[in-house]
Amino acid sequence: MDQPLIEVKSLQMYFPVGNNIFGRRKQLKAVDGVSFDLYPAETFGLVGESGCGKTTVGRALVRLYRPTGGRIIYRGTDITDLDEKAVQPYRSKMQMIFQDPYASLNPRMTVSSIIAEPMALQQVPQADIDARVRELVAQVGLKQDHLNRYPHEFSGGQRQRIGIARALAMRPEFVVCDEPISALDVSIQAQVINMLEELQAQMGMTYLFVSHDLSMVRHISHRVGVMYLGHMVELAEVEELYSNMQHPYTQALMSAVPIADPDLAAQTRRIVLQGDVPQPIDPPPGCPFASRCRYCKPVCREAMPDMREISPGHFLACHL
Amino acid sequence: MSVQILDNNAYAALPEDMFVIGIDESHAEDIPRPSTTYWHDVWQRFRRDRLAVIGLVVIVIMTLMCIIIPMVSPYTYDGSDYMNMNAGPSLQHPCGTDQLGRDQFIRIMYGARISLTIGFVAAAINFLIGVLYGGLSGYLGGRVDMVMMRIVDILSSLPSLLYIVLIMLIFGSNMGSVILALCFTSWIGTARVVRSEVMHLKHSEYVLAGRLAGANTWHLLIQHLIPNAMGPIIVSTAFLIPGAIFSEAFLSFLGIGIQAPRASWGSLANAAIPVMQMYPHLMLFPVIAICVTMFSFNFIGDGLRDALDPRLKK
Amino acid sequence: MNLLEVKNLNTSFHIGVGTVQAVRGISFHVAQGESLGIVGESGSGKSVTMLSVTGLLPYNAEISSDSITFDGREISGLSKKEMRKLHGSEIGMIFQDPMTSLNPLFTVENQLTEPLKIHRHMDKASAREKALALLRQVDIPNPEARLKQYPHELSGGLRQRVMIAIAIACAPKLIIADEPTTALDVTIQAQILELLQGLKRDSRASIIMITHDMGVIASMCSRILVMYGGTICEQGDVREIFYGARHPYTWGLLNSIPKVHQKRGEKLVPIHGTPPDMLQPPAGCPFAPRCRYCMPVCRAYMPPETALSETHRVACHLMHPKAPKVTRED
Repeated sequence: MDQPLIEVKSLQMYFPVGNNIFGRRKQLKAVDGVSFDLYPAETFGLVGESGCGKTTVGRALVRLYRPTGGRIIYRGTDITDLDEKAVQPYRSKMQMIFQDPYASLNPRMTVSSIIAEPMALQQVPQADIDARVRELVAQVGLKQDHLNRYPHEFSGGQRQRIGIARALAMRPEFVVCDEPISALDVSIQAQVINMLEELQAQMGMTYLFVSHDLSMVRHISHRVGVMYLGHMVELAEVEELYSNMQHPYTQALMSAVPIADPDLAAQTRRIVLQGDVPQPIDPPPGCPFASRCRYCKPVCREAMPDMREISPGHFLACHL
Repeated sequence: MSVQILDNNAYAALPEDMFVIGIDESHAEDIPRPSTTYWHDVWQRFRRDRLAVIGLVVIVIMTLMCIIIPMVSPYTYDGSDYMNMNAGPSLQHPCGTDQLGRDQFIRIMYGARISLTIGFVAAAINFLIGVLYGGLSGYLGGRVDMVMMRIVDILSSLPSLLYIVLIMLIFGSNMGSVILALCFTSWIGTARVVRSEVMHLKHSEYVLAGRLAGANTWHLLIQHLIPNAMGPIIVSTAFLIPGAIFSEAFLSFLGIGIQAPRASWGSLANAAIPVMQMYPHLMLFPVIAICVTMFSFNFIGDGLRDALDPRLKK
Repeated sequence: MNLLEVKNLNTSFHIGVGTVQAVRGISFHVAQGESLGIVGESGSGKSVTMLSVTGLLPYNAEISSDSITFDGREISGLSKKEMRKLHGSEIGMIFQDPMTSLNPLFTVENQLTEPLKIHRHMDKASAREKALALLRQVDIPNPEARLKQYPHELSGGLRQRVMIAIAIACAPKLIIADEPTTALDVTIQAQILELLQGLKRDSRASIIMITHDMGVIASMCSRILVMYGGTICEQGDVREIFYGARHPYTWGLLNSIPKVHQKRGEKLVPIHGTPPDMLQPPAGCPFAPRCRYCMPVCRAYMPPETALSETHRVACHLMHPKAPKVTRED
């Protein structure tokens, strides 16, 4: 296989929460020891429910956060502890598409200045910026006369495409797509997904596609990682994962997706998990999923299962 | 705009060429609404608030009057008309004259100059300091924020009359020291507003996008945070103006503000106290001027608040 | 007999820049004991329709209709007070975000027993008993402890269960669920859907399920209305919509979600363009500007409804005898 573009090695991201009277800070372990590699021009899907840490992983990779542990290695360079200034050269190769197309565009800026901002900050000459903005706007299917309008005048799908144009401005190698379609209408989601796929085909970017929508992740990803409570529980090539899922959580998650086909839905039996997702604040030892797992054994409550390769490229963290 | 529906016969009789599939996607991305900006919308909302518009008109007229009238008037603020001392309102002296025969109207106009200047300058200084201080404190957060906010707490716990009197003693009773005294702590309100807005906004996705684009703190504040916090900032500044004007009038009324022969609304009212029962007009006109100005600025502030943040409207 | 019958409902909102025509002349019914799904995207008018029927719209809304009958009674002209009476007792509502529809200042017990005391005239002790029974019915573990808690102390899934318990407290004839699972995680959504399906089996209430998720509809509803641009563009029973849809918008909705078996690399078929601005809705078919089969007639006139079966009705000019025959492409 190729050299990985990004290697993530037991990434940890703890946030302090509150202060108890003895001054000991509780820790929210948003991400706790996640490892995976990203290869050039692939789409890696990261799925999980809210609070599982998938968004935090995405933000840590583009160094919006400084990880509290583990390493992030970008093309052989360790960028884990670089400060804001030193990380900048790497960051212009890494971009992000955000979840909420209403919150990710500054409402006081025109579309052209939003798309131009990354270039203006990197001292690209004004004439080049103008040409590139026009090119980008065409690339994402918007019109030139939209350039002087403000974000609130656009529909959700159009705004998301403005966000994509901004992310593409510096021709990134790596784009974190943080739930880019979850706030959009169904008919618009497909537009955005198709556009992301076309752009990848043209420009050969690597995507980290963070989402809770398992069918979209299956559609767009080459490899998929499933996260639960800050841990990666299963990771495999997309077809392998969807046809041969091993982790009880992956199975439950997959079967919980409502099927848009009444006959098929009537035939399929849903695995309904009991209880709620626990909070990752000072979690107990052992497997994070133990409290909701149907197959829970005593060992599951004592030791965290290690990630092991059960078949080539298929990793699983489970005592079963 | 009614929905177009045909009756059955007319529908059946529609010609064949109405039923040819021809896709025209060139308009699929059109935006039918005219382009508007945030500030345009704000102005539209502000315009509908009648009181606020009246307030604005009054302030504009008063500003123009206090600039122009002293330039063209035959009287000056300290020139006496010994033929008419303590005169009531007349054509010659619309607001009468005082004990020294000085034209009351022109003195009120000079007072307006002082009041409005103090109001606007104090607001501008407050705005600058408050936005910078609050913006930095809110954006940097953590320990820096802790220290900056404790400094603010200490400043705001000082008894205001104490340091105002001290400033007046040290720098003398002139407009500059009144402004200094008024600005000493009143930016704190603005700073707190800005800080809380910035703390709230700094986690928004467009700020993260700005950081990814390589923006430094300064750029983020100027380009992303402050423009989006502008609504509450403007509202808090708008209410600072009448506060500053009133404080100046109050200080001058107590005799520690603007000193005679210079006229301010507060010192005019002060000077009128001993003769109030015989010449009530000397008290009446400055007080009317203060009231009208206060009301106007407060109406403008209310209008701005409703226009900038429609959610707050009752 | 039809439990709810709505004829020619129009709802518009007056906002600063003009009038948004959210619902434009729709008619539909809900039969006794049936579960009706209303699908559509944001701005299609699906939520506004239900809020109009139940009289829960804000002050700047204007509603007109030929008639709205509920359980044989005309309710379009009812006062706010009479509507409120209807709400807790005969119509139960479940909203998307339970945090905004539960009162943060009251405990679960307060909110759950209130409708019982008001509509069923229960005393405190029996209302409490009933409340406990309701919490058990919606599978809330440890119901005694939950009664004393405030909404913010509950997780999203539990809050939604409490909301459902309140909605069914007085055994309503109609339950309206507006995107009840949209704000929830997939595994929690599965729990709530399971619960709603159980309710559907066990009670004789009719259910109206408003959602944008074809998957939720497929497993929950027996009949479906598809809404677009404030109008109903297609309606039919669940098989007619999923396997025999005739409206290009319904095709678009079904094609733009990835199939369960769909492999990587197969392209999704999106619907082009953006939903109409209901401030200035198109004169003809609201879907015309985005339709792949758009004809001149579509831009000029609103399509009439064509009945294809007892239940299946579609509003599309493609049904006209002179129109070309097109079929859904997969």
